[in-house]
This record gives sequence, C-alpha cells and structure tokens, in this order.
Amino acid sequence: MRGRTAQRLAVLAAVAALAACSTTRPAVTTEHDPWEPTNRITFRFNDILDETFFEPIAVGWDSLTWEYLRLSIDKAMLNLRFPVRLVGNLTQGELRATGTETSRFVINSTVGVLGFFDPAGHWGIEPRDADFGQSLGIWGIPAGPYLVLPVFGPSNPRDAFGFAVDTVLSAGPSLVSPVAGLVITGVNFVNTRALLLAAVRDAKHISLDYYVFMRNAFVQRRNRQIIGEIPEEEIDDDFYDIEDDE
Amino acid sequence: MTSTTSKTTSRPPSIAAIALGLGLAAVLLAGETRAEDARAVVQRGADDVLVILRDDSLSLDQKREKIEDIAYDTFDFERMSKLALARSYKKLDADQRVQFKEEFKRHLALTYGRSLETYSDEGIAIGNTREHKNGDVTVLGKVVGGKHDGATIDWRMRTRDDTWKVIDVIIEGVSLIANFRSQVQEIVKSRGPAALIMQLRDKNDAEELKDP
Repeated sequence: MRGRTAQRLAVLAAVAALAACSTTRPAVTTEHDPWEPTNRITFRFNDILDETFFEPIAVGWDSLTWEYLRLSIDKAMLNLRFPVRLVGNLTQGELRATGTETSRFVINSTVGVLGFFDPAGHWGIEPRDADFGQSLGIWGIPAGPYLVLPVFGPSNPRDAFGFAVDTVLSAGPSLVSPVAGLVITGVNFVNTRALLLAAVRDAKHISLDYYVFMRNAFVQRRNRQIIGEIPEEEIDDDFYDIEDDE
Repeated sequence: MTSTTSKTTSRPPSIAAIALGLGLAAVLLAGETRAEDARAVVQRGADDVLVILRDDSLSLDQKREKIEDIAYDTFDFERMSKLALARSYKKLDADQRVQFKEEFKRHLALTYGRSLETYSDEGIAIGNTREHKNGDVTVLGKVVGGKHDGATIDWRMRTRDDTWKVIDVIIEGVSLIANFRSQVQEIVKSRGPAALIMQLRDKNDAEELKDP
C-alpha cells in the first residue's frame, strides 16, 4: 500500500517536472462552434431545467440563509476541492502554488474550522485556482469545438475530459460516506447557484443572444485561465484598432 | 512630485547629453503622468458611483439616473460602439450607424445603472496601470468585500479631446466589447443590421419599463 502511494507520488512528481520544463505554447480556446444547432438545444434544455428547478430552489436557499453563511459554505466547498487544485497546480509545474495550496488546506481545515473561514487568506496566503482541463490546455492540447454539456453547461471536449478527472479527484467525501457525498454535492450546487442569482439574471438582461453571450464569456475566461496574464508584447492591440474619422 | 539627482563627473556633460537626458526623463514622466491621469479618472468614477450607491437618502430611480450620468461622462460610447461593431460596421449604412450608436449608448448606461440592484456594500480597489503600444492605458482593479471579493475589473482607456475615457471594461478576464462584438456578428450574419438595431432597441425599451 505504502509502495503504491510512493509510486503515485513519483508519477505526479515526474509529471510536475515535465510540466515545469515544458516549452509547448498553451492552446487557445476559440468560439469554433460546428455543433451549434445541438448545442443550442442542450443550452435551452439546461435553461429550462434551471428556471424550473435549480433557480427556485436557489431563491429559497437565498431567502432562508444569510449571505455570510452562503459565503462561508462557498469557502468550505473551495477547501474540499483542494485535491483538484493540488493536481492542477502540480501538473502545470506550479510548484510554489502547490505548496501554497497545501498550506492553505492545512491552515483552513484546522484553524479555519473545516474551511468555513479563510485565515490563510487573511495571512496573505492566496489561492491559485487550477483544474485538469487547464493543465491540458497549458500542455498545448487543443480544446476542440465548443460543447454545451447537459446540466453542466459551457465546455469543450478537452475541458469535459478535465472535468471528469476533477470529479474523480473531488470524490473523497463520497468514498468516506456516499450520503455525505450526496449532501455535499447538493448543498454545493444550490449554494453556488444562489450566489450566482444576480449574475445570471444580469447576463440574461444585458445579452442580445444569451447563448452567444455565454459561449464568448466561457471562451474568454478559459483563455485567461490557461494563457494567464499575456505579456505586453504579445497583446493583440488590433482588437482595439478603429478608425476615428469614419 | 519626484526629484532626480545626478552624479558629478570630472567632465561637464555635453549639451546634447543634457538634452537627451531631459528628453528621456520627459518621456518617462509623460508616460507616468498619462497612466496616472487615466487611473485618476477611473478612481473618481468609482468613488462617485460608490457614494451614490451608499446614499440612503436617494431613491433607486434617482440612484440609477445619477449613475447613468456618470457613465455618460466616463465612457467613450462612440468608440465603444465602433469597437463592438468591428467588421460589421461596414454593413450598416450611415443612418443605421447613428441609430446603433444611440441604442448601444443607452444599453451600456442602463447596464451600468443595473449595478445598483445587485450592490451589497462592495468596494473597488484601483491598482496598477498597464500602458499599451498604441497609447491606451489599462487601469487594473479588484472588487473588495461581498460575494465577488477579489474579482478583477479592468478599464481600458483612450483619450478623446485630451480627456481619458473608458473604451472597454474587462471583468474577470471577460471583455465587454469582445463579448458584445461576438453577439453583434452573430445577429448581423444571421438576420442583418436592421434586426440588430431593432433587437437592441426592444431590449432597452423593456429594460426602461422594468421596475427597479
């Protein structure tokens, strides 16, 4: 058993070392959407599902709880996702962030009462969000076409695979107790949706085409997560070029 | 105010060297001043909006009106509408371009005004600036407190008549202009410019009728 753990750690360390040495350029996610007709149907299905079930439950949760409690639960859920960030940071060669995330998990799980509080953040130990799809993107694996997943929403084949890996990585509570796992998943879903109530309403209000709005927002955000802060010399200023005298 | 010191050398510096040094210093200071000016405009706008949001003596309608006024002062709607249209710009005739600009301006002001409905005591910390090769400056900021604590919000700025104006807002890496451009292109491609303007107008009308 101990030998197997050591073997796994050695594999992870080797992957981290390779990732750290990698010179591959990160893969840019695009709005290429050849499956748009099917995606739009799935998107509409998700929206109806949300308006019929998830949103009303989230509204109820929102009215029954204090914002402080919802934010604390959100912090605890973030803490539980530590294995996802650990593997994500490690496979991206972010050794410093891996150490930081480990420190945050230890501090917040103990002093921070199972992660409901964030003393690590107060002490300046900031999180670095990472997931497996992001790692694949940083390794240069193309995203593939835009894909709307039933229930889970905007994605692409690469990130859908990454999401499956992250789901396995965050399945710890379910392994300890399936009931606890279900409760945690349910509370996380409802609590997150409650925190997004205003954002989703705003998005629907301000968008001319909600489907395209979400697709573009997903792609832009994913690129920011994968490519990170773009160096000044690589920024495409053409995007902002217009002729003022027209 | 910054002060500079120089080492004394045995040979007096040539006039050309002094001119070059002064020129370089002027360029550096000008860059710093430009970025600082842009930053000050964003800081003032954010401060003014927060004062209005926190003023309990104002009704929601009054708040919305005042925030929309700030948006009209701070944003360069003309450039923003052109940036949002991008290659679709040429597909609109002169009259449609004017209509689009007006509706887009209304849309952004209404969107900005909506912020008051979801406001829950957050603050904005204005941070560093980033200068771009074409002269634009991006002012970097973060939300402080509330449920969006730590979310990044950046303002891309460009001068018009020597005054810095916002030409894009980038929230958590998502550019408002890039997002709008994507929607505009989809609608113009599938239904044409007239449908785009009509949809935008209908959206704005519905938003104005909506109870705050």
